[in-house]
Amino acid sequence: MTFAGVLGSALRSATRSYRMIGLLYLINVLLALIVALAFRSVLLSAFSDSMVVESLMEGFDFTVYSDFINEHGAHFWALYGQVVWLALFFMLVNVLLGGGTIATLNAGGEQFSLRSFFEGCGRYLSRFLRLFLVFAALAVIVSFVWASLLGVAYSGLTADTVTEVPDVVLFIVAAILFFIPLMLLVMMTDYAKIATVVDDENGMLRTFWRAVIFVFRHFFRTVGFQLAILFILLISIVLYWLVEGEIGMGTTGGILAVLVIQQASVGVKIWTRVATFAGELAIFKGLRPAAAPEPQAAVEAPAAAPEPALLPQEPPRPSVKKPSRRRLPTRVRTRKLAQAAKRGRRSRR
Amino acid sequence: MNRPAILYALVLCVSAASARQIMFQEPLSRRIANYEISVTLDTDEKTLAGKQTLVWKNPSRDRITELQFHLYLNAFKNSESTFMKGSGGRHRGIEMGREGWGWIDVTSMRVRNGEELTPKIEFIQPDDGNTHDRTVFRVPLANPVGPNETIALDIEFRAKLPRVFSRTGHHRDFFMVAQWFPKIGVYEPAGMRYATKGQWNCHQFHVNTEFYADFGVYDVDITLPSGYVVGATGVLQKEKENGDGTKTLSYRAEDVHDFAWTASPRYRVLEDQWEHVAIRLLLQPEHLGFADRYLQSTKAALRYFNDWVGKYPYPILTVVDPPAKASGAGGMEYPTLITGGSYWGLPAGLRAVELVTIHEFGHQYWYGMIANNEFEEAWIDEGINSYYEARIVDEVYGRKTSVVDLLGLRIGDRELARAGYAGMSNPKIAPTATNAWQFDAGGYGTLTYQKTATFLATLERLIGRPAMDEAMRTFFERWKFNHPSGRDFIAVVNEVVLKHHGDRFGPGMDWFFDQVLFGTDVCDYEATSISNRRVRSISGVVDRAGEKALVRDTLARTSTELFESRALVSRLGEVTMPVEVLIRFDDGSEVRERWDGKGRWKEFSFRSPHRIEWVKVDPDEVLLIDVNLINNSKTTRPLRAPIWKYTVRFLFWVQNALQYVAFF
Repeated sequence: MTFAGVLGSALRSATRSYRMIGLLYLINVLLALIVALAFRSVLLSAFSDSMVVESLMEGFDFTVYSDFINEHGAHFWALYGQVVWLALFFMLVNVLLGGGTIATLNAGGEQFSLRSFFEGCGRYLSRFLRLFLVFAALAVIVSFVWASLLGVAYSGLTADTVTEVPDVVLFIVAAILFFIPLMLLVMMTDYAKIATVVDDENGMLRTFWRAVIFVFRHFFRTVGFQLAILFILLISIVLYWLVEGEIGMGTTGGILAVLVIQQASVGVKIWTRVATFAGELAIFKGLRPAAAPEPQAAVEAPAAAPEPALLPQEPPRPSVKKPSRRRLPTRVRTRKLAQAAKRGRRSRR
Repeated sequence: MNRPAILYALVLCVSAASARQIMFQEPLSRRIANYEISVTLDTDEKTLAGKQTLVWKNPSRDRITELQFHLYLNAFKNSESTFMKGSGGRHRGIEMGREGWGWIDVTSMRVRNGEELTPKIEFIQPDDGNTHDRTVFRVPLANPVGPNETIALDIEFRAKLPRVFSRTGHHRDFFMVAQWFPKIGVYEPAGMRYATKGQWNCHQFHVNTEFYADFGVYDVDITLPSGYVVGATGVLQKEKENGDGTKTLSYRAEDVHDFAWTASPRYRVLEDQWEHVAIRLLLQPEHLGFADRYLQSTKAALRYFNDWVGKYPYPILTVVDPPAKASGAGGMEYPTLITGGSYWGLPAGLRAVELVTIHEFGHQYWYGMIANNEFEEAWIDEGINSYYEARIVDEVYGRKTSVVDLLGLRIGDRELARAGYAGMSNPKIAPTATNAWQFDAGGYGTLTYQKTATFLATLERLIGRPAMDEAMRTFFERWKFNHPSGRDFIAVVNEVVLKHHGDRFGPGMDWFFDQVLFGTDVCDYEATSISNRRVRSISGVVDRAGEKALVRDTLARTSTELFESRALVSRLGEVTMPVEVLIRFDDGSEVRERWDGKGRWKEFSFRSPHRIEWVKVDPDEVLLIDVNLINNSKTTRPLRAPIWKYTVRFLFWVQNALQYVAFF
């Protein structure tokens, strides 16, 4: 499939999954409402029956803001802390939701039901949690090492600069560079999740490593797709700001209109996330090395468990546990996978 | 001819011989401390070698038996100086570079044709007794200086400039040479400011203190490599190539109390003119894009001060844009020379360049000409100047957008100053009228700059703009080229307020300054509650024709429905101010009441067919010093749309935050 084909297919697949997107949106908005309504209570308590709030209809008012922070800052910052905790909690919720999302997409998306979705969530929860730990550990290590390296390089390059101009430029470059490995890590984790669902992988370190190889082997396609999605996301954000700026929130009607636009914007973000998974799934399925045939294992293995209805497209696999493959040393396994990929490509030709 | 007269004549002859151009035919000041300095800058070693002649006139009727001098550069000599102990090698957020020490030594000091003073130099520490501090010295005189007599001293000095982090010093080939020469203190005769007897006022250099010096004439020759561009206090008289790769520039400044200069080969010079003032802008090449912002704000400040305060008398103003990597030199004022600050890429909506330029120019008046003692009463120069800064930038760039106007974020200067004070964790930490080096527990910046700007804005709104402008103009005209104290300022305000308002505010405004300047209490008025009750007919037992009658008709009403309406306002803070209360009824009618603001609360009652809809205490926001403006109003029909507006925004932010973490 061409790059444009993958992108188009991902977007179509995400659009077809509107019921799942609706569910994800509902979870998002319900969780956010917990703190948003608490925030409303803080505002009501802070402003009580004061008339200064009227000036807020015209836009940001620094005096009102500063007095609010002076008098009720403690409540506000407590709420801010809650947002941080909520975000961390949502990270874990997202680990749960990831399984259902990918499994649903893998099943074609149309057969969405709450039951099957949450079955998928439950089935992969433990593995995705382990994968998340791998990701989190790597993210911390990579961030620390990479930030240190960038910091040393930045200090070295700017130690003797005469003006601040190169400092600013280098800082921007360093900030961009800092996020590149993190973006790659996120991508790799995505592919590891997809591999887990598609191939029912169980060893998360091994699966992550497999995803690393996959991403680097198909670097331009995987990264290109990711950048395309980021571009779409960026366009949606810019569009939101333009539209919101045009509407304004100076009237009750404006507030309602912006609320609708904002929720649509959140919906688009969820849609792009689902599209990301859908595209990555398509790329993975299209390019992944076919499972190396291992006749002995297949013969010796017990009868494969019946495939769940959720994954009708999955070919029958010899074993969930794949004991013989897991025991192979990594290098041998990698070679075998490469050979299998070659065979796959040849057969496709 | 007595000895001083001979000496003074000698100095005049020297001046005449050097063919300096006279700036003012009539001296603008008493010209007590006059300097002729010849200095050479070694750009490699970052050192200065100087010779100076100081001609000092005894302004008192006392016989002066000793002289006291500042050696400001010794603040950077080592970690034990009072400045370094106070700053920890950090000033205004900028760290001192490694091994960036600076110092100054007086290598020779003698009375012209007279006594050798060098061995008699004795370092003193009048403020804190820190014997490691060498920023002030005294030298006794064998022959005292009599009343109105003059003494001439020949002084030689060597100095090493620090790496710039606090106003003065070097960075690569940039030099900001300030507080750089041995400078005589101020002798205050009895009756001047707070002096009850004649005394030297010569404080050590502290992290929070600035300067105090007498006016005079400065003739300064600067020798440095030919490739350097120089900006300095005063007017360039001549420039001479020495034939050895160096040049000497001669400057003269009259009726100023300090002399600073800067040098760098990288400067780009832009020149402009505003009426009689030549504006010379020294810009970093990477900041050429800021030229208009510098020049426009400089002219705006010149125009505003000329219109509202008084004339800028000098023929020149030099505006210096230091390198961003030497930003410690930025945001500083010297007579006829100011330093700004800019950073490559700074968007137009962040008006740092304009703000700093206007603020520093304002110091030409409040510090430059109104030469208060910045050590002891920093609020006069910094506070009054911050008040004017807000007036100018709010007028030029918008009341709500003068500091920031970027991506929907809007902040005005006056509201920023007020927020700084109102947002202090402890606004009672010290009175504003505190010696600058004695804000030990913090609050120097906020109380000196922001609280003063805020209470002066409050004063302006209390007494009215015309009275305020007249007070400030009178203060300036009466005290320019002099050393007024806070009391002198208050006396002028009292005088003008009495003239404009009679005894409406009492015999003067002392009650105001006692609270906001000398006191620490906060001001907070509140609209506490509104109640509207229907007036009902009487019920219960009444006497009718000598008999008791039970009236049961509690719902009986008068022919027109009447309401007993009450608005309660309260004083939550300790500061008391006269305040107005505006009450609006549901038919749109309004009642404006005055309250002396002294009690803890005040209730306003009405019996009318209309209910109170809202009440505002201080409806015109006269009391900017009020630390909480949210509680100044109360309504029975609160508008909830803004609450929803921000709830909706907050919801969106949280949803986005959640969605972004969903990518992990």
